[in-house]
Amino acid sequence: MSRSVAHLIIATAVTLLLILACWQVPGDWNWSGVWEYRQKFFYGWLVTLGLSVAALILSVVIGLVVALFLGARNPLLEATGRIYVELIRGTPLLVQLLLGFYVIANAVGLENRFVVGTLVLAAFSGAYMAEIFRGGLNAIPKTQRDSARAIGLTRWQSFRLVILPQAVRLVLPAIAGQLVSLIKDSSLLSVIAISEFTLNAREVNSFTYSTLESYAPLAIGYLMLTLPLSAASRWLEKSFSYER
Amino acid sequence: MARKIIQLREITSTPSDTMQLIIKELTQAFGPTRVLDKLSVETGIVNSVVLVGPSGGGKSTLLRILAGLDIPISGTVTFDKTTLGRDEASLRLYRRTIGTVFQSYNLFSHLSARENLILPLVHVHGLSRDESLARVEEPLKRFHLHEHADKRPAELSGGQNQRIAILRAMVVRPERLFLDEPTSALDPEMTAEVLDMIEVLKDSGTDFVLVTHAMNFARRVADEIAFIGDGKVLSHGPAESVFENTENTRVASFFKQVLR
Repeated sequence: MSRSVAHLIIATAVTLLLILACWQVPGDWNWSGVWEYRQKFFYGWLVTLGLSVAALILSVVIGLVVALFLGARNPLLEATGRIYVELIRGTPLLVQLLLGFYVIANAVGLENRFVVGTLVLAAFSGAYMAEIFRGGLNAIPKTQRDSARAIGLTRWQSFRLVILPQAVRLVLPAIAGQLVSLIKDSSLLSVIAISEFTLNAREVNSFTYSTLESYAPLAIGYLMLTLPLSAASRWLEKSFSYER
Repeated sequence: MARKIIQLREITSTPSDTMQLIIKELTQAFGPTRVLDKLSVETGIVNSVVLVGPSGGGKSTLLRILAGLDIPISGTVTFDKTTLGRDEASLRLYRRTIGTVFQSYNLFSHLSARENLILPLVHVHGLSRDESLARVEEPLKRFHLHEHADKRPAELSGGQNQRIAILRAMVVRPERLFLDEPTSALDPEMTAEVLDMIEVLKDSGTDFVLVTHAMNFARRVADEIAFIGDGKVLSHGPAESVFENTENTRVASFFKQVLR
């Protein structure tokens, strides 16, 4: 049996079980009430998609730069990276969003909540990415750096041509997992009144009093974002692999 | 054979025909441990110098300094009247003029053998991709590595890996080659194929400094041998004179052990 067939069988079975479980829920379903708000769902989904893509790209860049800080010989750079990672990982995203929007963004005169939300989300995820990248970079054997120096590459060339391509392959699965988390964490952006997917679903719920009907599309909508990401990661992993 | 050698010279042609190495009071330490202790030696005008001696005696440390990879605490290294600098920038320029082969894991594991060969040509020596590909074609065929050229290091045997590594050092047409125990990680059959290759390079006029434990091979290819022990040169000269050195008990007992 091929892997994709196996995936299909198990996915169908899980779906059927879920539908069966829903069948057991007492009371009437109110799909038509929720259907009227389909545009609201779609708008929220688009906002989440846009925010996520922007934060995703930015967080990879932040992660890589902070990882270099963490590995830097200069103690000030290393300390900057370390404190950044510990502060961000040690505090709730919720607090970071509130502080980021109402205190920091306010202080620097940044008013666009979409921009602030994206920045905070990217900074949050970037701290986790930094540790993942650092681990990947450290895992490349010293002999590879020696070899790169021996043929006369500069430090930057050796990083770009030798170390990074090998590290990317190592960290790809962990980075993909972190990106999936980022997409789901974007639901917290509702606390600074960004009208993203989750907030819109909550609003539909309060209009229609149909909780399950409002939240089920939410699950499906997030899966529509995260599953392609996982698939892309697996494809990349395959094309990067160089050991048999 | 003569024709073969002439062709090979075209591939690998080295700018200078010989080398002379002068080391003065070279000292290197890692923490409190002195690995090289005011090591001095002056070779004749030769094509090959082989460093032998006990493990931990400082051979590899010395070779890394000669290859411009490490900076010694004090002392100087002079090749053909050019003294090695003490800063990374000048050493990097120096490394571009030479070739270095390590004990193992030389090749970049994410690149095919061919991509490994052209990487320094494209990114260090300014050749176009096409020029580089053309330049590595002939050496690949010459050493029967052509059919393996598109494999990644993990798919190659240890001997093939090492021969590609030697080729990568050679295709940039270096002034000389540094080889740090190139066969220590290989089984006897692979050792033979790598040593054969080094011998072909030697016959074609490539200058090299080699660290090895293969004593018979050292005797065969060395114009001069330096016996390194306790961070110093304990014996130095033409192969036979070093192998038959009985004055230094340290050297004599080493050869008694390894040559029996």
